Amino acid sequence: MKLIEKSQYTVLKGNYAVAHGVRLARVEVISAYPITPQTTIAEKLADMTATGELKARFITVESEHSAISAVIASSLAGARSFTATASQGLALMHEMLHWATGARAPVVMVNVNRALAPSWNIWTEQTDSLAQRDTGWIQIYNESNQEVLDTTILAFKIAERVYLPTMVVLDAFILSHTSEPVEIYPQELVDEFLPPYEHPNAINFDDPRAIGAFARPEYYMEFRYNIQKAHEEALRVFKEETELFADMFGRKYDTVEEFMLDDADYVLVLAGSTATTAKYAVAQLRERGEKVGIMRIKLFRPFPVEDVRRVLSGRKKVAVIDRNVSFGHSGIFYMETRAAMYGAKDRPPIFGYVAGLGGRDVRPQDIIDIYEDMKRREEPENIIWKGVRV
Amino acid sequence: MAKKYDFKASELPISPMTLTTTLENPTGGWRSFKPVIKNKTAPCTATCPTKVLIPHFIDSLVKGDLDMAANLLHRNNPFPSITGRLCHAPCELPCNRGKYDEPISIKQLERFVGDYYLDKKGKPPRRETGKRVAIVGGGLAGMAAAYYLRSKGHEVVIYDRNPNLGGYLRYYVPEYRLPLAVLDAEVGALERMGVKFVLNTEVGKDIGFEELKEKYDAVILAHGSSAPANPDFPGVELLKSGWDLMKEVREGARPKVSGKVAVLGNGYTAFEVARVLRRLGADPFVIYPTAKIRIPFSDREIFTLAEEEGVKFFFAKVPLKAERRNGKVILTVAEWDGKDIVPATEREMEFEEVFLAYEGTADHGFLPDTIRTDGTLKADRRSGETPLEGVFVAGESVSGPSPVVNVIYSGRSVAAAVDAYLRGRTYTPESMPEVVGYERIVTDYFPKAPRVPEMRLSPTERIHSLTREEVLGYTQELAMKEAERCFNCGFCNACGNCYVFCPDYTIKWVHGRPKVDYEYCKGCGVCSEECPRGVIDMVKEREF
Amino acid sequence: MSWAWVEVKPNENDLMHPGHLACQGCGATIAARLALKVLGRKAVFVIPASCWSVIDGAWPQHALQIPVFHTAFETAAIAATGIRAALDMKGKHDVHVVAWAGDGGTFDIGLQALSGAAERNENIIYITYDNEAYMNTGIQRSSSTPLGAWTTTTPDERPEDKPKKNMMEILAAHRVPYAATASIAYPDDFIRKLKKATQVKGFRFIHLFSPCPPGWKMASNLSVRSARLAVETKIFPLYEIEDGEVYTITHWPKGLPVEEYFKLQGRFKPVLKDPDRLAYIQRYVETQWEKLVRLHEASHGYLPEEARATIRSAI
Repeated sequence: MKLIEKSQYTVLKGNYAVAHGVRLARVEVISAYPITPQTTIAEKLADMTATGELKARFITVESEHSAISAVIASSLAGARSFTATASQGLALMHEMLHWATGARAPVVMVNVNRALAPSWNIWTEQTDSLAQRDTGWIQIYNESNQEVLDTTILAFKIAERVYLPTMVVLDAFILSHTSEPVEIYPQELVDEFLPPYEHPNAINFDDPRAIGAFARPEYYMEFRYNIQKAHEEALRVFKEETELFADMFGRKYDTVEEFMLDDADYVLVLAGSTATTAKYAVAQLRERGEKVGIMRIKLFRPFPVEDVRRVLSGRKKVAVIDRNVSFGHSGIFYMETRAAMYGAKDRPPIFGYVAGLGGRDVRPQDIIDIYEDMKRREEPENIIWKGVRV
Repeated sequence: MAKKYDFKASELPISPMTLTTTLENPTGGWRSFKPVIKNKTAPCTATCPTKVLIPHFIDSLVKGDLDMAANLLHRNNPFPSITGRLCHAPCELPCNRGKYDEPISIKQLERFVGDYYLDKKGKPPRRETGKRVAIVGGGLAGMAAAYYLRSKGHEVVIYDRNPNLGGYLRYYVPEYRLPLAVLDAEVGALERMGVKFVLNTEVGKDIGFEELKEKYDAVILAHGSSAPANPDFPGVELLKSGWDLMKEVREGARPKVSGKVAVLGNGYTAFEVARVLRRLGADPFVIYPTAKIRIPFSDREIFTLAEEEGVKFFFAKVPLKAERRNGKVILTVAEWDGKDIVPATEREMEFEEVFLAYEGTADHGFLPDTIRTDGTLKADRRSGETPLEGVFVAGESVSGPSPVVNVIYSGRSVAAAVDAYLRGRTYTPESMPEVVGYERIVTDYFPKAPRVPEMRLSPTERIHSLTREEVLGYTQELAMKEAERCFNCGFCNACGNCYVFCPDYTIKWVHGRPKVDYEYCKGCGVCSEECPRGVIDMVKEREF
Repeated sequence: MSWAWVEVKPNENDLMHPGHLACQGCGATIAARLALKVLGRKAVFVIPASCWSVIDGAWPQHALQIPVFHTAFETAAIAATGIRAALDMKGKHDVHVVAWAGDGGTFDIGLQALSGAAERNENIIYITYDNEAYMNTGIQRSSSTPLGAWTTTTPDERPEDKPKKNMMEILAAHRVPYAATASIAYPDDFIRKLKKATQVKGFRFIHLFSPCPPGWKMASNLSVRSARLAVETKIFPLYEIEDGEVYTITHWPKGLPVEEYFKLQGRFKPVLKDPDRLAYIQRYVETQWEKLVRLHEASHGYLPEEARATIRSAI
């Protein structure tokens, strides 16, 4: 019997899928602070560490800032480390997100996308994670609970190959609190995929060094250069590891997912669980003979410029649907997609739509409306609000 | 400045992890003042006529190295067991500890270490120089000179008219004050060192001065000041000699004296004669020429002892006349203002006996005129050099009556001059580094502690014995306790403060001592400030 | 025998290289040297933003001969916790994880993480080297700045008008197993306390008084002397609190007038010019001290003889 055949199929909420991914990755130090909708991750991991199902130290900190600080430190002390948060919590961590990158701590964090206050809002929106774009973290967005589990495991593998912190992102409630069938792999197989964690610069009592000492202008920039190089490397590593993952676990992921794109003139670009809704809508549109497909962005940092260009070049029109907004400009995926396409051959006009902020539902009809709006429009616009009462 | 590197990005570690140490930064360049570890002179040593290395020997005592303590002590004082009993201890007056609580009992510590070492000392020199030195007079000065010259490897022969060495100490100073056993041990040590004694031989009578000069490479005149020097007043010949009394008593006689007796004198001997008389059962009165407050410091101790024992005093009085009436001595005295007799202050006093106890004077009769002027010797006070080549003078024969420690210093410094002379070198008097004042002492490091009193007989116990030693000194335990009080001013005793407090770890600890690493020392001055005993100075590095 | 060698052994665990970047006379470096003498090589220092971020050296240099983990200003306690967790998971139980933070990183910005770690009784040693202001940024007030002091944000015209935050009471309220004050001027006391701390499991806190000559406007040679006077004037008492309840004063001060301490330092110039304020501070110090003495008495049931002399009955 092949190891993969020992997998268990179960129905899991997205947050529990995270917890199982963390367990399978044999994480050693966990630190988390409760915030809706992340709480059930912390609860499940607390259970797992309490029962011994997962042999890890769970540090029940007093803030997200401390949660991330703890795991950066534990990561550089040689332990595989994990934290999870959302929204305000992620914003509070901001300082340490830069720190994790600068220190080259390959921690993995799950962020459950939630809107930022005020007004208080606990529902899904991508602005929290996208606002951390420039912190140097690898960011991976997910569409399903299975993908969440798989990506959690993959995230450790990638992070620990390039020594960059990695953020696994899922949507509040739509994934985090929604049950879906999930395949849970046997531990032995995950162990084959993910070797024990080691960091060459981890705290070493036999060779005492200072990690993070201040560097004068004559040295600082080379370290920053190396972080950029690590991100470039991460893109290759992402490809390699998703290939290997597909071989071992039978599920293939890529930097972007292409849906019904073979002959598509029109492409809808989006990320996260909204893609599922969009796929349903696109299928309906296809039945009507519309030549439309979807490009779902999975890897946001490093940004897969080449894949985006390959997929979008030569299309008639592209609509980017953002569940986020960078005030004063546009949706963030839109901005990134357009930037990637600048200078590409056969560049299509790109239309930016902002929809579903603060957990407002994005229904199949909304997607169809967007598609039709795009088709109608002559000139692209940076920011077209979908469903706002004005 | 910091060392520059030219790392390429590809050469860097993954995390911003250090690759080397701050030893690359020679921070000594920040310095404008530099600490200099330099021993200084303690006020006690500076005041001690013979410059005993007091903080040094006390430190060894504290560390339990009694032999080292003795060695350091003997470096400038060959006879600590004698000074430990007889010295007037001027060293204790300026003791910095005295400004904090009470001065260190240096004299008793000296005595303790001296007595500990008494039977151990007396090693012959390692090398003989072949030079020969004659010393005229085996008193304290001659003995001291002999000690140092012999330890330098010279052949030393002491000529003394008495049957044994020691002079005044042996024949006059009472047993209760200086046991003969102590003196014998010191003489024994000289013997063991190889000093030769020619006894019962008076220079000028049994052997000529010129003969000595010919036979020896150098001659030291240390014949002392023991010739009587009584004032001249009518009836003085009727009075008894205090000196003779002391001598008799020292030899074991116990003459009967009782009732009111008087002692006439001008110094130590007068007080001592009175004390002997008290012990013999008399009721002595000392008639003393100056006011009480004018008693010199060197005689204060003995004065206090005498007073405690019931000796009475008439101060600022001088005798004018003595008569014998009905078996009593009637002494006419008058007030003395220091220069003249105060008019109309004459009065008569009646005593059973009156003893003359004036300090002696030197008799240079045996010496050629070339080195004499009016009864005093022409000699340099420190080196003892005289106009006659190879002839030196030491001790009271040149200085007149002096405290024991001054006499010892004279012997020691003259020995140094003679040694230089014998080696054909120029004699340079020893110099002392600067003195450490109280302001340099960080008293915070010294808990207040009263001076440890030495064991003594009570005045009542004292007056009942002429042989029992009156001061018993310290046990080892008491000595250690007292020694620990010492600030060790100006003497690095390796306390470790500078090492402990150096913010830059540039005071290294090398072979048990601090050493400044100037390559890195930033010159903050903490070591200097925290040195409890003023050993570390901050010296300006350069001019601005 | 000198006191210095009672607890300090020469040439043992001298784990701080010279050439570091501290100012002349820096108390914090004396503090680190002494701490390492106790901790030895089996220790890691977690250093948040503070003078020590600079002192340890600019990359690629490093002064301490133990691993150092630099972390953000407010994270000393939690980063130490994270390292402890990792080392425990790796079975490295024989090393000490030490948060080495300044007063700003402890009293102010780091207080939350500190409180969290203290409350969870994390198995770390937290040492705050207290120089009573933000010195590394150029002498701004912190909640550790003492009553009456000048800083660049409490200028002479409006000197610090609130007393120093009582961190020890905050720690005591967390019921940590061991909390102690110490001073660089009393290395024997500090080393004894740190040794004791190393033998306790759980959260251990040492509040280490560590003068800053430039920040206190005093000559660099006075750092130890000023630290000593802070103790002897009862401004900074040396004591320890076990389990948050048992108070023990470890050094009975001489009880010198506070001016003795103030007059060494330019930062107290405004106080020295203002007799009312000076008297107020003296009274404040006496009251605080008396409270502490009472806590000692309550903990032990009696007071030693030397204690009585330190209390002014006239208060």
